[in-house]
Amino acid sequence: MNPNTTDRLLRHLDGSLPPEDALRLQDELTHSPDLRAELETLRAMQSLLRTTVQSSAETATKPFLADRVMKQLNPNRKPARRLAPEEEFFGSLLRLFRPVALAGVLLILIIAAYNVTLSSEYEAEASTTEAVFALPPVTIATAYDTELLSQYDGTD
Amino acid sequence: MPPEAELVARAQQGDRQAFRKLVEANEDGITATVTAMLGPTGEVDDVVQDVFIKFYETLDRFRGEAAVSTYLKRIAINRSLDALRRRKRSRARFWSRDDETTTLPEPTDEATSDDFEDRERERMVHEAIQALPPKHRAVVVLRLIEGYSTEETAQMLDIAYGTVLSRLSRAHEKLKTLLTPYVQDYEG
Repeated sequence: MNPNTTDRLLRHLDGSLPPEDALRLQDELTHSPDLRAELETLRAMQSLLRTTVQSSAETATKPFLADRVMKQLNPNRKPARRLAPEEEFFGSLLRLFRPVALAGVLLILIIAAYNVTLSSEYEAEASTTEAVFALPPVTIATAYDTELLSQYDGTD
Repeated sequence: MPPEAELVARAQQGDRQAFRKLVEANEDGITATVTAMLGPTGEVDDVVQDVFIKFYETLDRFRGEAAVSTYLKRIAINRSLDALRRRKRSRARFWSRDDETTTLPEPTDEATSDDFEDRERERMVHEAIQALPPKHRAVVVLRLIEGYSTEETAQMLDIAYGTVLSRLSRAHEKLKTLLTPYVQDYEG
């Protein structure tokens, strides 16, 4: 059967068809025995399903359902409060911050480990800090040593 | 009994007695919905409790745009679909249909042949409903059994109007095939 026909027949049974549609359907029912049979089948099917489900539901749960539900509710917990949009926004930022911070720390550790490995490979004379941060073996004193500077510049 | 809106407002403030009244007012309707979705199995009791616990936990999001019963039906359908998914996974894992066994009440000594016929019809109707795909079943439960309109059913299931019509039509055809003798008896 056409989906729209099933819907029209159901709405006819509900009594929710607009008056002009109801009149048109009534006319079709008068002239079509097949449609009348469909309507009767649908009516009987609906009634059978409703009666059966209602009858089964009477014994589907154990007694004192409300008592059992109330016992399971956390006595200290009030119903969840709905967050304001700005609270939701900052909450989601905080949730995002943790994994980003963790990833950053992990990246720094990897780079430091790489630098230390590299510096020990080349047997460079570097302090631990220089090795970890891959700093060139230059101190402030040597950086301003005029003799050294002049050597690099090629001047006296 | 105080009006529903007042009960909801009191429950939202933490009044457990008000919440209890909402449970008592809706337990029969929710039990019927879950029974229609799952069949009369032992799971129904758990799922119905779960529906009300979920309602309590999300009570503050309830704004009263729909009736409490409609809101609860929506939760009931979703929780039933979850239970059906669990059942399917469990069946795939253990290769067993035990979970689906209907648990209709045992006949008493005074049971007559009419009682047996009723029980047999009840069993066949539930088997026919269980033979429908879960999404089609949800449409049948809300539209055909509960009597919600097509528009309301579409809203509650969050699907298009046309989808409700096509699912309902296909489900109806299948139910007709499976239940013809019982429907004819019912017509008679």
